[in-house]
Amino acid sequence: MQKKRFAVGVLLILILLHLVPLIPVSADLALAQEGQAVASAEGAPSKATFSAPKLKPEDYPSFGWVSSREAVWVAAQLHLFFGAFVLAVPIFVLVFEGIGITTKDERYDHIAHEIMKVSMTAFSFTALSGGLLTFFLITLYPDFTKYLMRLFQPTVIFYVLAFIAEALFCYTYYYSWDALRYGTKKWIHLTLGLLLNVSGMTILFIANAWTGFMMTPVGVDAAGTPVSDTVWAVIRNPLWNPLNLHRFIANLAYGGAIVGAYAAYKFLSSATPEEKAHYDWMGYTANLIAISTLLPLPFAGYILMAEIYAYSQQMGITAMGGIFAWLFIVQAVLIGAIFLGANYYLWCGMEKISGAERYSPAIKYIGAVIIVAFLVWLTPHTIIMTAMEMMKIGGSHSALLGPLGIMPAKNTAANTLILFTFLSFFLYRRANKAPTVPWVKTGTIIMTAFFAIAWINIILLGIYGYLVPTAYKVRSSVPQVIATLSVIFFLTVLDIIMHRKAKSLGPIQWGKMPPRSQYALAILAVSFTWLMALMGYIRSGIRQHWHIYTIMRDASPDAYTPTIAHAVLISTIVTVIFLALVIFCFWIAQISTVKQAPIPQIAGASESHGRKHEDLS
Amino acid sequence: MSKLTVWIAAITGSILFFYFLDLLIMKAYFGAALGLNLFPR
Repeated sequence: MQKKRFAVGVLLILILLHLVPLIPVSADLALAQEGQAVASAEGAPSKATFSAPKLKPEDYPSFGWVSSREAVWVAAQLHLFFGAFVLAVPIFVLVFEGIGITTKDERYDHIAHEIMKVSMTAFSFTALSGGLLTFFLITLYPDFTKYLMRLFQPTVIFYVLAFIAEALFCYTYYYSWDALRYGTKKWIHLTLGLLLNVSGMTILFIANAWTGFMMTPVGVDAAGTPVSDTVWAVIRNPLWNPLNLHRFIANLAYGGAIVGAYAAYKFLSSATPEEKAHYDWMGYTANLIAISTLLPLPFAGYILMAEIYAYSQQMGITAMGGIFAWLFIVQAVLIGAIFLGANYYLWCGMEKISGAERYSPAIKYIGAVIIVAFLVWLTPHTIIMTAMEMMKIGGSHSALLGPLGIMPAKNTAANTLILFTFLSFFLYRRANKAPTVPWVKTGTIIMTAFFAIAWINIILLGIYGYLVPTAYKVRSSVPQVIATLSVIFFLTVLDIIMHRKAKSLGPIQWGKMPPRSQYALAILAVSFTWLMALMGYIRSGIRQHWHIYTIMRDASPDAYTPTIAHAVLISTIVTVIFLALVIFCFWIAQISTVKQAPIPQIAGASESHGRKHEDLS
Repeated sequence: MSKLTVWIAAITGSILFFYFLDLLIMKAYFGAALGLNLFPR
């Protein structure tokens, strides 16, 4: 009883400690609500005494041997990769730990602990790349950094505090794993995980406010002078919440993909069937996270783009209809690769499930639909062509394929991809089960009809998009999305009810996966990383020659939009650097389990020197 | 209930569901008649 009280006490203290940084925010908000009179009466300097500096080329220091823009670009992108990974991992590690408690399945606890181990090295790289980015920003863009930090002043302090809290909770959470393993202590451990996530989310949301403001500034006048004494006015810019939502979901998908790559790496290097089974299951779980969070991601991206268009049509058109449009085609190819890879992995996985042969004939049709949808998605509308190419095609865009280049076709293709990837998951999940409820046939007919009509509805809405003005063309994508979500929700719920007390058709033989399936997992991680680099460039690049869009002009020699080839080159270089560092993280996690055998002091030492044996205990 | 009846009922039900779903959303978008605006300015 006393132990329980102690545990509850510790929990309360931890939660209260975490609320401390929020107190000044509440005070700030209260002050803002009461008006600005208090601050003025005390003679406190108002924020409204400064504006965005008007810079000249000579105001920008330079290293000389490397372009300032590219130095910041690489550092920021690396920081974002690692940041996304280390913010996402604790979310699903906490969920796994929770599942482990409720199901009493130790596998979840082991996998959670192991994933956390991989992210520990990544956590150090996040801090290092963050330090590098800060150094570059202060050194190369001092005036801009000073202005932005002054504008967001209290949040910068909270950012640092949240980072310290994140470090404290991260290390405590990881290193206390075995010490707080069972009973009430496990709940203390879960709370530590929760507090780690709260710190991570705080960091993400604060940084998103800064990024959002650079693209869609509000709360300042045309000269960049704050119009309000409260920082809230600049935080709540139009892109803040869309970015929060999009990055939160994307981080989960990304974290899942990187953990999947780790599982693939370990699977391929495993020697024993037990190890293979463990990492096969880990890879499957990571893939499940990556894809289930990837499915709603286009909708979050849609909201983000809708807000960009709403704030500035020019910025929106630059992104999707102008110089950056080609990168959206590259995006379509990479997302198509992700969907194909994820489906392929599932199809390979079905080979190890008894009962999955019932669904094997369907795979070729699912594959065909996914490939057709993929091709529609990557068909460009208008491309830059030579006169000869134009003559061959017969105009600026193909008479045959041109109609596939516009939004109704893209939306239909995207929803079809999601719908059929869900179908692969759906079949995989129920592959080794035979339902025993009396309404199996009726239920199956209802599910089949609902799926088919939803798909027909999506296609008809796509055709409808060609018949109406542009405004409605875009809007018809909303019922398409709702139709897709309805299928995912309705079929999942009905299937869970149907498979209650289902008969097993045999165990899943974990570990019996062909090696090629593991390369599909690796492709997912590479495609996700590359995609983030390219799309992140578009998001940031559409500000063009502005540090803060329409408020603070970039007067540096780098204030131009690079060619697509150059942008892709830089994005690829960062991707390669990141993946090399991630492999280093994997290797560190692996080498920590290896123990060298002691060297005998007598003859024969050379034989055992350097021999390793795995310590799997 | 025969298999055919179940098919007809399932297809009709699904068509009605998606018809009203589309109507609801598009109607709201067309004239904001239902006062629903997903992206308020």
